[in-house]
Amino acid sequence: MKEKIRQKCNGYLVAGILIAGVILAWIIIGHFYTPYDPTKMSRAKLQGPSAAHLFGTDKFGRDIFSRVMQGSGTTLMISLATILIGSGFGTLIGAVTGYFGGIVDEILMRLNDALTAFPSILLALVIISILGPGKYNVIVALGIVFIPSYARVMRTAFASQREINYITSARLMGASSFRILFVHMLPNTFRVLLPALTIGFNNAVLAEASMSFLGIGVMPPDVSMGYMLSEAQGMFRSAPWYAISVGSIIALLVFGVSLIGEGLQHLEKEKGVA
Amino acid sequence: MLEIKDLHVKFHNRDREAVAGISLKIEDGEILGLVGESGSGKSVTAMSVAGLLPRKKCSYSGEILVDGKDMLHAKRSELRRIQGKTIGVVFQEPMSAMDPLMKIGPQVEEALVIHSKVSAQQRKEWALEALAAVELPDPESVYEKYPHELSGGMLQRAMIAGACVSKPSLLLLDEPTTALDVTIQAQILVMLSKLNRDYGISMLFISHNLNVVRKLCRRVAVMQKGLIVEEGSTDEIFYNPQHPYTQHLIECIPSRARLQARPGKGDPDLLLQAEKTG
Amino acid sequence: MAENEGLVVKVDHVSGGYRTEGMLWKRGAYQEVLHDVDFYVREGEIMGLVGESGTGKSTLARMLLGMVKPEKGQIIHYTKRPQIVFQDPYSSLNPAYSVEWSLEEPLRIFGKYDAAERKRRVRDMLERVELPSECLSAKPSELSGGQRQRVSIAAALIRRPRFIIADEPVSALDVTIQAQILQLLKDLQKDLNLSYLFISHDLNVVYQLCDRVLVMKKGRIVEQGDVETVYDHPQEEYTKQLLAAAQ
Repeated sequence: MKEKIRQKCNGYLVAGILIAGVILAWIIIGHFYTPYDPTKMSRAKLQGPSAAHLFGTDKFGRDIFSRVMQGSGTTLMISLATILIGSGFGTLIGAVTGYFGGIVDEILMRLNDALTAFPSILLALVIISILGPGKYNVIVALGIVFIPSYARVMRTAFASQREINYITSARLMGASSFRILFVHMLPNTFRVLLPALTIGFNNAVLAEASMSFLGIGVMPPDVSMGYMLSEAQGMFRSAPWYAISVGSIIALLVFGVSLIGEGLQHLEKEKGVA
Repeated sequence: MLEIKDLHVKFHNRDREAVAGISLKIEDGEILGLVGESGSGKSVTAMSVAGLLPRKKCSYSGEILVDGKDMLHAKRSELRRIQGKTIGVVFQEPMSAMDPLMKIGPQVEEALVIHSKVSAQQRKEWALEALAAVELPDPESVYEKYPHELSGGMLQRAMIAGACVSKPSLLLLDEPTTALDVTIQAQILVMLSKLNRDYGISMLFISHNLNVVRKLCRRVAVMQKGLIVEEGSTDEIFYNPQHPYTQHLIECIPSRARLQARPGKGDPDLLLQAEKTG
Repeated sequence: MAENEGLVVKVDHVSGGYRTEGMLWKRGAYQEVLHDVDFYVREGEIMGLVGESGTGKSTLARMLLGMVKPEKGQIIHYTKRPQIVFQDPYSSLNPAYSVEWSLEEPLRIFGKYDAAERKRRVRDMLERVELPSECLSAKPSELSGGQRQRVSIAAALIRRPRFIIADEPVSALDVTIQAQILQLLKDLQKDLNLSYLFISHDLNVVYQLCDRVLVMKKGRIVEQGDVETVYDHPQEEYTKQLLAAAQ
């Protein structure tokens, strides 16, 4: 009995869901309610953590707890939208190239290689310099940057099924290519897609943070993790708690999601064995 | 040669014992056939004899004596000395048992590299000898080939050569011909009986097909649900089976008897309807 | 009887094979696998096809299914498209879906039946292949090899084709399961008046099930005829070898 329970719930998944879940709940609450107005300045400047201000205040007297609550919400939204765009288009491209092969495959994949050859931040920078900064443009830029890696992973996942008997059968039954791709093949790609999504999410969080940190990301009045980090850098001497609290929330979120990804992979492995 | 005494194996994630107390004996130079369906515990028995049981994932008791040494409770380091040297193992799928990036020759020599300190020259000589013993045409050229360049039958011969190269006294053959064509099967069986005759290697031959076992073995044990239900000389078992399960196994061997259809099942209305619309 | 009456398929002096993968603009080299293959299958007849692996049996199957085009000659189908039962029961069912979904899918693709009728047909088929209705909700990974093969047969038959190609359907199974599946194939054939092209390397199995047999060697049909005749009076040396090995 004990073994059965251990089989069902693996530690990674439970810990990951717990950590990421708590932070997620906190972020969602922050969307509706923050203890203080995150942008309102006050006289209580540069105060250390206390009961009134859990994470202290910055040099304008703004409550850091409230700012992090809201800022991480922006980051979460950007990261989710980014992997949605990246994995969506990536899956589409991967499906078409993996299943049909031939000349379309050659052209799209060479294009993909060309995109991958650029460092991702550089590529995002180029796109931002065309579109201008702002949170929606960050999503577009990062989304495009994330497409190639998903396209490559998904291409392999689709191509490896092409010659398997159940796909041959479906084709003989007269199923359309669309149906074969998205009804017959897609569910069998989840085992590679899910871990790729969790890794992608983490990369997106970090990419957003670095872009906003460099000042090519989110613009005020929006706040995000990266934007706050660059703010915190300026007052690292006077208010070290700012950088520490923002940094640890990012680290925790990334850590939790990585654990979920790890847990999912273990789950798949066990399923494969059983 | 090999003696199994009251072997029990139970995997932690299964409710039933995979092997529920079997005792077997193989004399020097004997070929014993072990027959049963998949899930009957015959492969687990072979794994136990080869010392390949995943010990952390199962509980086990009993004794497996190979030349007087207990394989079931031996330490890892001791096991390693016996594996490949005293016992050679051949599995069903030759394709997946070979390293696709290595030439056949080095793979055949593998056991020698691990177990005996002989020169590379000597190793190659012995490997070529083994390849010749399994009746591969032109061993010199096979030695230099990669697995994908050989047919399934030739690969299985090369696998057997690899298992035999260190002159083991016991060969475990787990469904070695099941994945092969009937004609190739027959050739490999003849080759195996020659190996047994010329080198005196004892063999434990595992198969689900009594007909295949009959061609090679003088003695057969029939396994069902982790137990040996019948054991005896091949002729006895084949022509005068006592246990109902053995009788069933023999009935199932494809033979020259025409199959007759049984009365129909399913909804006859639906059938008529289908004829019209289809 | 008119010449082509009562046939399900006629393979008329067909040669063909594969092209190796070409470069972007260059076509791959052509490799002929089948040479001048000529036979027919009648309605309600089980035709055996024997030969060693690599002789082109599977290529012929793919050609009959329309997946490979013949280079020379032609294949004439007199019925609906044939369906196939594969050797490996592990890869012939989509692992992501339940048995019920896999059986219903061909009917959904066909698109002429409503949900209730589809369910009725699925249940009828399940009964014909002698599986309990609990199997419907099972994923393929929860079934045994024999059960999976029954589901694959049901999925191939659910649209009621008249001609089934069975490519080594029992070779991957234990002898006891083999016997059950063979009996099932025979029953279904009689019940539904099907024709089979039954591919196997086991001559005994072919004898049990088939009416006529084709012996193939290196892409050529070297001998064909009634099983009784071919087995009792083999003409070709190759057929004699195969028969000797099957003893």
